Amino acid sequence: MDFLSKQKVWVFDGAMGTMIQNLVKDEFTCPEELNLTHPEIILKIHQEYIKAGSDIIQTNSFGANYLRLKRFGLESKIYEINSKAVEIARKASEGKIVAASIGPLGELIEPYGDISKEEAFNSFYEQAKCLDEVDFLNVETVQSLDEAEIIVKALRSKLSLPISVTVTFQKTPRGYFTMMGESIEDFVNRASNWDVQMIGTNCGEGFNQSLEIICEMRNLTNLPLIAKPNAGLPQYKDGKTTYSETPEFIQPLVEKFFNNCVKILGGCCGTTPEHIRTIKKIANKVNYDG
Amino acid sequence: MMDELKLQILNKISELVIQGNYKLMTDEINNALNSEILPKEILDYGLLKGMDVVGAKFRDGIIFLPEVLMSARAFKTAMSVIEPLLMQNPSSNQLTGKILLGTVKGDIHDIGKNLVGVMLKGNGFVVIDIGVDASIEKFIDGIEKENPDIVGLSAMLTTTMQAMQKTVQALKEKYKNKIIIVGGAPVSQSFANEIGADGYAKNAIEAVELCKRLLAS
Repeated sequence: MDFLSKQKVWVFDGAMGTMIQNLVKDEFTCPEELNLTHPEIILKIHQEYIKAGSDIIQTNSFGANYLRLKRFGLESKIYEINSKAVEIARKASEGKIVAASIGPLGELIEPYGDISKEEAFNSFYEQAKCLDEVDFLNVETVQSLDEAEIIVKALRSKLSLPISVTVTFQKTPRGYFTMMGESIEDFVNRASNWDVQMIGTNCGEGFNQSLEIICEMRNLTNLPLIAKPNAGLPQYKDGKTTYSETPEFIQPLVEKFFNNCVKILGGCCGTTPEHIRTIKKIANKVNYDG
Repeated sequence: MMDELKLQILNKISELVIQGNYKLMTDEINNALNSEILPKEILDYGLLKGMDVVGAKFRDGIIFLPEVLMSARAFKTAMSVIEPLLMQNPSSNQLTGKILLGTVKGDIHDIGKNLVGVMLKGNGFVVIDIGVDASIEKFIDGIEKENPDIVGLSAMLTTTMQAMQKTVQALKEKYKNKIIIVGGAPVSQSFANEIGADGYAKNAIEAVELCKRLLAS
C-alpha cells in the first residue's frame, strides 16, 4: 500500500447499499446488477462521496462473487458486473483511489454448511478476474476467519494488488467475537499469516463499538488499520428507515478514531455523504494542522 | 421416580447434546431405550435439557454458531431414533406448534433463519422453511398450504428491511389474526413495533422463547 504513506489519514467513502435504496424507486433484488441496468445511479453515489471528500471510493461489487450472483440467477454476468463496477468507480474517482469491495458468500462453508472450500475459492477467483484495474482489494463484512482466508487466497492467486480485510464483530458479555466465535486477537494472529497489507473492522452496531474494536486491534498489530462503521442501527419511523448516528453524533468519535491510529476511516450502512463531510473536516485537521 | 441408572443415562444424553457429539448419540439413545426409559423422558430430561444449556451458553457468548450447529446435529441424530416412537403415542406428542420461516425478498441470507429453524425443531416445533428471497406471494402460498401458527420473517441486510415492512403489512392485511414475528441482524424491537409485527427475537434462543410465549397466550 505505497499510497498510504503520502497522508497521515485517509477518508474512505460511506454506504453504497443504503444509498442505492434511497435513490432507486423501483423494486430491485441484486444491488450489483444495477451496474448494468442503472450505472448512472452508482456513478452518482460515487460522485457524491468524492464531492464530500472521500480520498478512496469503493466499487459496487460487494456481492458480485459467483455463488452469490448465482442465487439471483446472474452468475453468467459475473465478468460484466465486476468490470462495470470498476469502470463506473474509475469514471467517478477523478484520480482518487479506487478499492474493490469484496463481501462474503452469505452462506456457511463446510463442515457447517453445504458449500465446499473449493466452491468458495472458485467463487472469489472468478470475481478476482475482473478486478485488476483497482488500487487495492477490500475484503469486508467478514464473519468467519476460515472464509476470509479462502477469499484472500483466491484473490492472491490471481492478483498482486494490496489486500485489506475488515471483519464484523458482535459484542457479547465476554467481549467482541465473530459469528463463528473468533476474537479480535484470533483475527490479528491469523491475518499475520496471510498476505494482507491492512486490517480492520466494518459494519456492526455503530461508531462507538467500532472504536472499541480498533483500540483493541491497535494493541495487537502494526498493520495499518481501517474502519467503516455503521451509523448505528436502523430505525423505522413514519415509513422511512433512519439511522441513529448523525454526522453531529459521530464528530467527537471521529477524532478518537484518528487519535487511536486508524489510517483509513469511512462508513458502512446508514452513513451518507454528510457523514463523510464530517470525517473529512477532521481528517484535514489531522493531515494539515497536526 | 427415576432410578440412579436412568438419571445417569439421561445426563449422558444431555451432555452429548451440549458437546455436539452426534457420533455417540445413537448408541446412547438405544442404551436408554433398552433401559426402559420412555422416549418422552429421553426428549424432556435428556435432549431438551441439553438444548436449554446450549441456548444459555449461546446467549452468554460462551459458545457460537459452530457449536450450536453441532449440538443441533446431535439433537437431530437422537430425534431420528425416537421421533417414530413418539408418534406411536399421540399423548406424548411434543409438537408445540407450526412455524413458517422465510427470508424476505431481495435477501439471500439464510444462516440466521436456518439457526432459528434448528432451535425451533430442537424444541419440538414443526418448521416449514420457504427459503430465501421470498416474495409476499410466496409467503401467502406457504400460509395457504401449511396454515402455520406463526410466520417468521428474516432480513440480514439493512437494505431489505423495507421488504420486511411491506411483507408484514401485506400479510397483516390478508390474515388479521396470524402471528408474525421478525428477526435478523439489523432488526430491533422498535423496528418490529413500528412495522406492526407481533414479536421480535434477538437471536435463535430468544426466538424459541418468543414462539412458546406467543402460543401460550
